[in-house]
Amino acid sequence: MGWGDYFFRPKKRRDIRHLKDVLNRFRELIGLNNTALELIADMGEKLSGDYVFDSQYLRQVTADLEKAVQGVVHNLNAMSEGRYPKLLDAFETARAGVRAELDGRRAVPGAGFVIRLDEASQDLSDATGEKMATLGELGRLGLKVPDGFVVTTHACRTFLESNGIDAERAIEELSSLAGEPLEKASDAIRERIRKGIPPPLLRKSVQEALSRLGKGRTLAVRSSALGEDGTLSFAGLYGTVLNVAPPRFFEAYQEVLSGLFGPQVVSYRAKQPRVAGAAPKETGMAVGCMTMVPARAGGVCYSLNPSSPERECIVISASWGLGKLVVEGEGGVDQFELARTAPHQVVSRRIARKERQCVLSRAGGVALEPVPAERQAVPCMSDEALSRLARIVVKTEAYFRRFQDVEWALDEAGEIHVLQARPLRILLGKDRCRADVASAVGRYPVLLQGRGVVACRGIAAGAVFHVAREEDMRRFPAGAVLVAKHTSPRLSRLVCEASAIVTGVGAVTGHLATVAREFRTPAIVDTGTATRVLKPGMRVTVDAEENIVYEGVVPELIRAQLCVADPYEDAVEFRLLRRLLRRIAPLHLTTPDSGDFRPESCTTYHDVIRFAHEMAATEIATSLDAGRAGGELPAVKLDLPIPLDLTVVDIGEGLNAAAAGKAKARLEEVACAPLRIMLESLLEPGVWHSEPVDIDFGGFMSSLTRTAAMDAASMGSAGRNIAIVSANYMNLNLHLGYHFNMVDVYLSGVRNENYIYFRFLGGVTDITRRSRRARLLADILERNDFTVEMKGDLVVSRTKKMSTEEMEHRLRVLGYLVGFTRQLDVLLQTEEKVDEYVELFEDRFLARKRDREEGSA
Amino acid sequence: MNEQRVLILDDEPTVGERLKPALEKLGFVVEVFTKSREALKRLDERDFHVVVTDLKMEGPDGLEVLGLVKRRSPGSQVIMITGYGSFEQAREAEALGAYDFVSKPFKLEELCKRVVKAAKKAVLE
Repeated sequence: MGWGDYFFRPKKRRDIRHLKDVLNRFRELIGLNNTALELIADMGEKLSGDYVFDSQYLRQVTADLEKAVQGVVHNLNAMSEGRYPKLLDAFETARAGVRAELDGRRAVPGAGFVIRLDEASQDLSDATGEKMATLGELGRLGLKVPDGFVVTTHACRTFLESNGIDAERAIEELSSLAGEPLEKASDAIRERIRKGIPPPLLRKSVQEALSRLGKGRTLAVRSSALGEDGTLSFAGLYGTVLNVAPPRFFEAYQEVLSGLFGPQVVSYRAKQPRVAGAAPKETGMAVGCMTMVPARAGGVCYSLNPSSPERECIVISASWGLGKLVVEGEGGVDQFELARTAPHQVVSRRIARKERQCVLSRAGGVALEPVPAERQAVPCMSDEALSRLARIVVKTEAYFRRFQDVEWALDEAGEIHVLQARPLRILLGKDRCRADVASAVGRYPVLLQGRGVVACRGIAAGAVFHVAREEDMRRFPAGAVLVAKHTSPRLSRLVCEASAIVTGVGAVTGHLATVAREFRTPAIVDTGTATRVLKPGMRVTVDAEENIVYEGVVPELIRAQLCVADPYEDAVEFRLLRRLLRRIAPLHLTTPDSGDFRPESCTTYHDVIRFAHEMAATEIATSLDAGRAGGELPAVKLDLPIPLDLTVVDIGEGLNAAAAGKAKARLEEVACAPLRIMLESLLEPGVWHSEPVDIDFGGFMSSLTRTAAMDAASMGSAGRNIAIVSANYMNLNLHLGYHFNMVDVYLSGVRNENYIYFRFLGGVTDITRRSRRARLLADILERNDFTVEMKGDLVVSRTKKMSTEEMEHRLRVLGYLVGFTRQLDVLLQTEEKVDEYVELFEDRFLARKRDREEGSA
Repeated sequence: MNEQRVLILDDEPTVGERLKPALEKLGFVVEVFTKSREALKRLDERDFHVVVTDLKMEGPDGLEVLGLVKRRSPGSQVIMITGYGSFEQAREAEALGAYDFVSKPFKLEELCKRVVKAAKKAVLE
């Protein structure tokens, strides 16, 4: 339909028609918005590893998603007379990114010469090399890695080209040589690189990156070549330059780069032509530039002692000063063996006489100096630090699902930095591992089997720790197995501390499950009995591959997963899915009253639909105003015993015939089932007037200061509370105090069509309390089978496909919740209060369901 | 004890990559193919207790594979993997004696369960 058609109609009829059209568009938008969210959740669920999906699935699901998001944008523009052309631009940009990923055209962020270390990831390893990609991932896991940036492989190519060096040809030529001629040719080309001139744009990018690192720090310049540290490493063949003053960065850079053409590297390539990075075409080196860690002690740690794997020990080698001595195998070195499971006790120690240490030299570079006599025979790591280091290595191993070889440094403040991590090749033999597992698992009692749903595959062991309340979270010991009754979103901050997660209740699409997949923490949810069967302190092995929990630590199982199959996360399809989701799922826009809430800020599909959804609600209010001005409107006010001031817009059998033509309708005249249920629950005794009153002064002041701005931003003259209804459908927009609730419901006799969508956003008080409130809501919602996403103080939750009766109960819970949270944020002075109110809510409102059921029974 | 053999055929390599270790863990001997011609050749040499095959493929499709298996070794059980828009062929496969159907994407555990069930039913001469 063209917009031109109706401009020629008489004004009054046009308004009504316009309004109806707007409402239809709105419904369509909401439907597509739900579809899109569904698809995003579905994609996230596939990351659990529990599914087999192929590239056809990825193409299909992204195509469906694209259609839904495009539909959302289209409908918003249709209902607003094209007010948001820029949203279409944002959608198209996001779509281009998604399509590029699907087609395998990978975009490197930034100018292409430099990537910040905290942005490096395995998905960008073509640009950053494996070594720096790994460090980037570890930083995101919450481990301490040095600040820094990566000069990309693209920069390397540009540098070589601008200095007239054809890398591919040079490698081919060198490969045909051996012995002295190879040495000579290699020397010549390396000299050309050392004397080369960095192109101005590269110089500029690096300067900017250096200035971001801050002053007064020297640098470690490390190779990160393609193929290095990958499946077969070029270990030790490339160089590292330590303690470089920033102005001399390029000297070091070119030195490291020249390593590409070293004679040993060339012969290694020739001998291993099929190894990643070995083909002449794949010649490329990224170079990491990191701030130098002034190490008190340093060294190497293997997650399994390769010389006696059956002992199940981590082995740590350490010396005073930089770990260079340990890496190079010089000088006296302390050696420790630790248990592989938390709390990682020291099993054996051999303290060497350490006469020399490697330190940063004032003139740049490093120097050997004597260790003061009184420290020579003293262990250079305390047991406490050793245990922390062990935890780091185990975490790294669990994440990459490979035994690890980690280079580390302990700084003066006692903090441990990871300088490098790579897979440790221990050949245990697949068949032996499998046989070990088969004979071992029979020896351990099975505590849970096939009870729940795997939210993230993997195997890990540890001591059980129950988390029920906020204080448990603070006491949670690193490496323990997190056991909780519910998959509360609040537990997400423990995911990276826990070795595994088991819950009694919960969904694989929940927030906690999503975070578990991000950190690759094995997780089983919805087991029913976890909190009863898994007793605090009990040592258990969680096998989230087979959905079994064993009593005791089963080392054979853990070992087998590290050496039998390739980690599924590394499969092409998984990597692509992760990359797609990164362009689709993150939500950057939250609060409409922030300056960033613009189409231009939408970078992902989720942003686009979030923006459209919000604006659509605003358009409805505007259109109602316009309709009212036209004098005729399919809308009535509802006469209620609470001051809700609710306008009901009937788009088809949402009100009884008795309400027709009246200025005010009564609750009995509401035919729309969802609205009736919602209002009935709001009107139940104690729901509307349930707010506790101990408003503390700070929260109150803060609410005062926000009032004016909030009012100006969100007051619409059509009244702020609107329900758009038909017999089975309701879209309810409620502004209560400073909270904005949107409830979108479809309830019919058909189970598969039923859904409830609930969105909560609101202000007053400071952001800490607002996000506390969001956590409170999320908690209660998840306990009632809603899937929940939260960002700051925005809560988006959905539930679907349950029987009408079950949906009605959920809707009633929403009614209670809306009433309950009206004033709540000002009361949430501490995290503990969140627990208290979750329980208060359960006591006060959820008991009602039981009462009702018992009453009817 | 006699080993039970499973052949997996899907032109998307990930299917075999994921299924093989999971089925091996359950004690099956597994062979994986991504090209239907090669799988047909192998099926002509050797009987398998269970064949898991994609329905839609380049070259000979799942129906041809099913046909060959049922001709050569009626006691073998065939599980068809169906994808988008292969509904018609799925009905045909059912008529031709396919044991079970799984639609993509599927849960690893679910398929393993069905293979175990199919293997119990399989009788090789």
